[in-house]
Amino acid sequence: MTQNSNLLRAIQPAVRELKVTFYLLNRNLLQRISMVIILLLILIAIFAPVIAPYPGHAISDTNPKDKLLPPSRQYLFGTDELGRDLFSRILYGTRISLRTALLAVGLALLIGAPLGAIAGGLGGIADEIIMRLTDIFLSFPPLLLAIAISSFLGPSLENAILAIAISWWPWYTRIIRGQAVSIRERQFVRAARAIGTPLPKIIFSHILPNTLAPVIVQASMDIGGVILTIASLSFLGLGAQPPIPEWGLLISSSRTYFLNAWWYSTFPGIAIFITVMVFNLIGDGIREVLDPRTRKF
Amino acid sequence: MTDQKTQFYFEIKDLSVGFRTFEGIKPVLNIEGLRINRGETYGLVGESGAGKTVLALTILGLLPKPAGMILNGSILFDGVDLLKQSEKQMAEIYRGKRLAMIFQDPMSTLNPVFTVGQQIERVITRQEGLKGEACLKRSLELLDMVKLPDTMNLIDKYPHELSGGQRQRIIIAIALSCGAEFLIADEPTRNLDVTIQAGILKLIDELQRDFKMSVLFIGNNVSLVNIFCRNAGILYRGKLVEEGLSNCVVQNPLHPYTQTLISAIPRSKSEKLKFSKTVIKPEAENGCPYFSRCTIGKENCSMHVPMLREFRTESSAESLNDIQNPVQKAACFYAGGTI
Repeated sequence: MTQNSNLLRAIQPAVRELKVTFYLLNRNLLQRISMVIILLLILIAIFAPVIAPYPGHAISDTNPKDKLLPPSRQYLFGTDELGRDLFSRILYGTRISLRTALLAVGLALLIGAPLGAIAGGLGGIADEIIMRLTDIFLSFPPLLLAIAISSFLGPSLENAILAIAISWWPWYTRIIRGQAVSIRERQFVRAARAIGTPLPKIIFSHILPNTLAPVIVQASMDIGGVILTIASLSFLGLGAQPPIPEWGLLISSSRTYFLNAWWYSTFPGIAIFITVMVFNLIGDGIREVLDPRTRKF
Repeated sequence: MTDQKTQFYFEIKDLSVGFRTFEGIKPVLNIEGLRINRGETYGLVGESGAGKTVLALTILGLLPKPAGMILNGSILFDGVDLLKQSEKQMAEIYRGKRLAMIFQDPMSTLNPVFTVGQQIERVITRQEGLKGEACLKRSLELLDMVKLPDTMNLIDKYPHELSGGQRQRIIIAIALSCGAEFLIADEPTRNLDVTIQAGILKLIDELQRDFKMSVLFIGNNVSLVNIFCRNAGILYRGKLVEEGLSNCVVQNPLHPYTQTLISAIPRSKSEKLKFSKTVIKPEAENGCPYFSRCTIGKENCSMHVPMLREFRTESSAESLNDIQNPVQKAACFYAGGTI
């Protein structure tokens, strides 16, 4: 009972803030639409096996007698060269894209955020070493680095996630480090030290949480970018391998039939376009909410 | 002999602090001696830039590094030289446990991303090892101690939802949560309006009595210091220029700087505010720090640095019986009309 009320007390303020955020996001029509679409995408990802008319087509089943049929009532988005229902495959693709994007961004944050906080919070040699390391990573064009890493690790979806995380973390490190340097000089950090808080605790429980706002914005916008990068890697044959219904891979395999089967490349393309766009829009919205100066009332 | 030296609870000896700049090391603080007894309040007054906050940070070992440097001297606290303690020792033994500090700007002293309760409970958990229900109970006690109403509701608020006075009370609660014996209050009433200032001062005063703390009160308001502190020191450009019982200093200022400072206090409507035009003379490199603004300074003031000298004046009669601070001191060759 007391345990329960303690837990409730701990999350209550966070819930209140979340409600405010939600309310603010909800006032802008574009952001409201984005939120609905993201919710829809998440639902699709979760319930893909239930919604998809031909769940078997997503992975292994083939249906050569119906190959390359245009959109119809039976096959909403048409079929591919093996007669598989594109609609089902794209629904399953949502699952893959969202999961890989979240994993890649999460992994990049997991590497980048602590390093940025340490660099900004400690300063000195640690700062120098970490920042020069990010400079090295940032001097490669991002897609090229991801291509290099995933071709080195061998083409698979997991390796593509790893490759993207490795080429993405320096951005978060830079953002957090920049914030941390200015937050380190703030009064409350000094006050925390004055009551005897040890330095690691100051870095991770005082400085880091205060740097997160711009990183959350960046990360939510990056989800779109990462989906695009995963699609690009798969398109180049370095990401998901057939028969995984990854959107980029779908477009890649549609190349051969591009002139005869417009639906084959169009629908996965639209799926990528919508997903990337809503994540960018929601990122913008979150920035507005987190930064009162850009709030529109 | 050594007993005599350590009888002061808190003593600063020949402290000199400088900042590294591209023109070399610039000294910012030069204090020959400052003593505070157990349970005593000492008010340090000075204009902005005098080095008040630098002194507070030096005591806690929190000077900004690598710019800030301790050039010389020692700070003895209960017989231990704080300047010789390692960073680890300072964090584990002194900061927050024996020494506490209240910072000048209550608006920015609390971490904006955590609720008040989270911040208090974190400190209590670390310092006293309390968790869960006991920790919550202790936090509510602390908020009660600083006379905040409706604590149960308050504890789940974020700092931005509170007023300056409320925040300063919370900061005091956190600072005192671990039963510190020595409190450094660095302009605790800055950025607060007058009625709230009075409340905060009254609170610090009561807590000081209840816990028999020693307090180093830093301010830029002589009248506040006079009301609140037994002893007062006037800091000018990093040097103590006058020291004594606070009402002696206020009623009978000896140093010309203190005199100007006190005459600058507006008294009544009928008395017209006078701003004497200060004749700015060139700086005296090796002389009195106040030389450039002093109206009575003579030539020798620009050649030698006046040391703190003891004076016995009429109004300091009461303090003559006091062994620790027998007299009023001033660092001026022409102080109080005597040479």
